[in-house]
Parts: sequence; structure tokens; C-alpha cells
Amino acid sequence: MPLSSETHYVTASDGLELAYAIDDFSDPWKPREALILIHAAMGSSRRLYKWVPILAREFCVVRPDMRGHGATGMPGPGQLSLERLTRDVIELADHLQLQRFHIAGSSAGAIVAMRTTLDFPERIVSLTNFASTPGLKNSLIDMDKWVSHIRARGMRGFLEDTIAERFPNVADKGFLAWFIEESARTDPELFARFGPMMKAVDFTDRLHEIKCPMLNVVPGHDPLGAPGQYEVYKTHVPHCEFIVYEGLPHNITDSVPERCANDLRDFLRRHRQVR
Amino acid sequence: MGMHSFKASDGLGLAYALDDYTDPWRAADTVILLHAAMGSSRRFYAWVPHLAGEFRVVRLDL
Repeated sequence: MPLSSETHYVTASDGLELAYAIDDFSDPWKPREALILIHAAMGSSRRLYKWVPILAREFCVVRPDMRGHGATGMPGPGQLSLERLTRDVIELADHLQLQRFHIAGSSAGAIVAMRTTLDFPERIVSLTNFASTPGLKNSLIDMDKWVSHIRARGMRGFLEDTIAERFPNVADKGFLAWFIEESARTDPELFARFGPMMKAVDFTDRLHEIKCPMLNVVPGHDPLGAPGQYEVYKTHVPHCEFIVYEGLPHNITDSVPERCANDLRDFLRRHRQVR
Repeated sequence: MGMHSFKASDGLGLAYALDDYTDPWRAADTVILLHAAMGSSRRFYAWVPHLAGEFRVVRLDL
């Protein structure tokens, strides 16, 4: 069955058309409190569908498609950088007249969320990071190997080859097939730019600038991350909250979406913009 | 929320909302919600998140 959220569009300042979904079932007579929720690499807004019913009764949930993902346009030369992805978030927020908003992201989407918080702190009510280090520079991902694998086998082949390590505890074959189908829509050459771009990022030395409430939800058994690498948040953002999903590998936002959304909702409730 | 319309057999255009956050690889039951007099599909907004994770929720404007 098709997911129902309509796709909306806004033109970014460099001319690229950005797609997003917006779902809001909050009380219309109360001030709107918004959450911008950003998907992982090789994903799209659609991958976060299960989060919407849990969050959208209380918050206006905005799910953008990052450049080159989902229904957003393919970035041309010079149109893909972490700074540009961050700028997209702010331009989308401006378009929706969201002066301040909560922001959350999954994996690479969390890198964008964190960078947005660092560069535009006055706009961010709270920040939630699912399964991401502050850039992939210190992760165990061999990005050259990933790109080679994708170029050799195609995106679908790469995903089929690696699905068991992403979801070792998921038996639902329907979900696994859907995950592959959705993620295989990613253009391999887009990932060949996007992945290495994120692999070059490390803003550990800026984490101390985060002053807003921050929640980190991390996989307890992440083969993509060096041991203890998520501990940087406890060190550099001492006021942050920290939840570990023991025994789970990297893709927690897809394998346990309701758990993620419930933890996010609880955190947002504790740090409301409007009381 | 997606608002849609179709033409009834007597020619009148009928509007409805369709919300579906069910698992895309499974068939889901559909529930059609019908509002009270002086109301509309919008009056059921708070019901949708409770139902639409498991059911396709259709809210017709009578």
C-alpha cells in the first residue's frame, strides 16, 4: 500500500528543487511546534514513515529529502557539500516560517542536523542524534570499498550483499525487501560523491558549542563505528542525554523505528519550545 | 495528509482525506470515518495518528 504523505517542493537558493513531507495532527488552536527530521544516506523521507503517527499528534513533522535522495533533485557540480545541506535545512525552515524548531537526524542526516545546530544555534530548540558520530572521519567505514562495491554490483546488489549485517535480528522478509527497494533508488554516482564527502567530516572540536538540549541514541553493537566513538558526546556535550540500544547494529532508525520515535517524543516533551 | 476528490454518481464532487502510514509491503484494512453534522473531515484530525499506523484512514467530507 502506498504511503500517503504528499510531497511538497521548495526551490533552494542555488536553484535545486527540494522535496519534503509535512505531517501535522496537533491541535490547530495551539502554537505550532515543529520538528525537522532528516533521513540517512541512501534513504529518503519515506523511510521515516513509521515515526510520523507517534510524533505528529504533538509536533509538526517535516521530513526533507536531502539532495540527490528521494524526490529532491540531483545536485550538479558544486552543489553538494555539508554546508549546502545545512543551508537547505535553514531555507526549508524559512519557507515554512519556522523561526525555531527541533531537529533530529539518522546517521548522515544527524551529521546534517548537528552541523545545522552548530552553524545556526539561534534556530534550534533541541537536537537529537540517532546513530551518528560527528562526521565519519573516525568511523570504521571503508568508504572507498563501499563505493567500489556499489559501482561493481549496483546499489541493489550492494544492499543485498550487506542486508544481513544491517538487520541481523529482523526476520520480516517483507521489510527487508522494501528496505532494499527503497534504498536502491539512490543513484550510485550520487553516493560516490555523498559518502566520501561525509567521510571527510569531523567536527568533534566544535561539539562543545552545542548549548541546546541534545539527545544521543546510539546502537550498542555498531560495526561501522570504532569502540567508544560515541563517547565523544558525553565528553564534549556534558549536558547531553544518552541512550544505548544494546545489541543493535547501525540501522536502528529502520529496525526499531517506534522505539526511536517514542524516545524522541519523550525527549521533545521534556524540552518543549512552548509550555 | 492527502486531500483528494472524486465525482459522485449524481455529479457532485466529494472530498476526502487519506492517511496511511502502514507498512508498505503489507495489505492494511481501511476505515472510513464519517463526521457529524456541522463538521468536516478536519474535526477527526486527532484520531488519525492513533489509527493510521495500522489502518488506511479515510475521512469523507459529507
